[in-house]
Amino acid sequence: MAPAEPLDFTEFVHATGDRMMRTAYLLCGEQHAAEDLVQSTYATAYAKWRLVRRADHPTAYLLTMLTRTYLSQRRRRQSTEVVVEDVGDRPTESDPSTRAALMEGLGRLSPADRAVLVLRHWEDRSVAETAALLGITESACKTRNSRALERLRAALTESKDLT
Amino acid sequence: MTDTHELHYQLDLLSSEVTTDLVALDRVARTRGGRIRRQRQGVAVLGGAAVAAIAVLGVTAIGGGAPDTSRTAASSPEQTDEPVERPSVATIDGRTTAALLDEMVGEVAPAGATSDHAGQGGDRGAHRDTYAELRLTPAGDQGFGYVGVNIQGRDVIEDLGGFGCLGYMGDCTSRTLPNGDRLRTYYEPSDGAGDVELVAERWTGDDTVRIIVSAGNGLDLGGNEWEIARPTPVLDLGELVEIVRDPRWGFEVPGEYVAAGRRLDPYTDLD
Repeated sequence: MAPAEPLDFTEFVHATGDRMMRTAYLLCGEQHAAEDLVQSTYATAYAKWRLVRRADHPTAYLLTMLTRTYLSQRRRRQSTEVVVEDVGDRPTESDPSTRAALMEGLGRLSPADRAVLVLRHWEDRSVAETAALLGITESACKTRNSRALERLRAALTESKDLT
Repeated sequence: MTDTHELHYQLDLLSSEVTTDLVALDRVARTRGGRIRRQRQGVAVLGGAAVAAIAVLGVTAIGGGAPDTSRTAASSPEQTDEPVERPSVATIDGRTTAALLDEMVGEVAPAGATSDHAGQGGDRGAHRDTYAELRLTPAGDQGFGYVGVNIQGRDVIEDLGGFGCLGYMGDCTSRTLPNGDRLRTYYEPSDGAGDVELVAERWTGDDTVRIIVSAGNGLDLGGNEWEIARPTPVLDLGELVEIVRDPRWGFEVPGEYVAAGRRLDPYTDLD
């Protein structure tokens, strides 16, 4: 998003909020934590609004803040947190068991690996972009991505075997 | 699920029903972000003792020390490991109008200095309408000027009739915003004293509130006399529009501005 005129904060929230919420949900694994993350991110964006709105790509800037806030929060919570996901009452076209297994598989990943996977395969960011967003090297990004995919496949296979 | 396209599809489905209240997100982000900004500015400007005093005032405002006009609004989304953000609201008066204006001016002109806050109106009179003004001296700039705001209600709007441009409004533009509000901008030509005023005005879509933000190139001394300090107003139209479009304006404002209004010193009550 490269605005031709100064970006209005409210318009920015309305243009990007739902997408950021979905990304946050995939990162956090549950609605309330995702809302908390999104609120914190937009509050920081508002506090730095003169900087954000003049960025070449304000959405990418916001996504950077979101993922880094997520990772810093995870570092604080990781030792005690147990992610519990309730997806049973969400009507979608996908197989509920697949969704549950996918969420469980995501929950088994480390926060950094999960962030790489969400950015690469949900946000469709390139390796270079993902590495830049997370502040890691491209090599580390590739390694994390491979590892995350491998673990996710294993979790899904395990789930399939159980059913 | 070995194919990455399939993974994208499944992640898309997994999050497809996730939504959030964007209006609330905007409001809470502004409240929390404004607090972050004020804390940052306070640390930059004040010494340690003053920072401690502000922190105490802030805690008082949030924790129940706000005046009786303040009350808890609808709850925001739940937090996980931090205190739940439940913004309060307060009926606007001259001081809170001035505090809110001060904050918004600080947001569009963060390096500028504000002073000489004044205001009037609010819940003490028969009408809810309020007015506030302040002196702004932009950083690295020559000369100061005033910035003012009016918050007016339906009765004033009905007296005014339509929203179109009137003859005295220079370079007037008017348009309807995506949310249904109407925005009008113009300049008021000098009446001979050398003053130049830019104005941005918004009427809410339901025609219940009119917000007018203006900026000049000096100070109004009254009686058609001006202290002219610079050739152009201290804020440009883009900055005025940003202020007038801020959703915090209304007859009820976030409760924290009650405490911020109290801290304005000196403050002149124009009533």
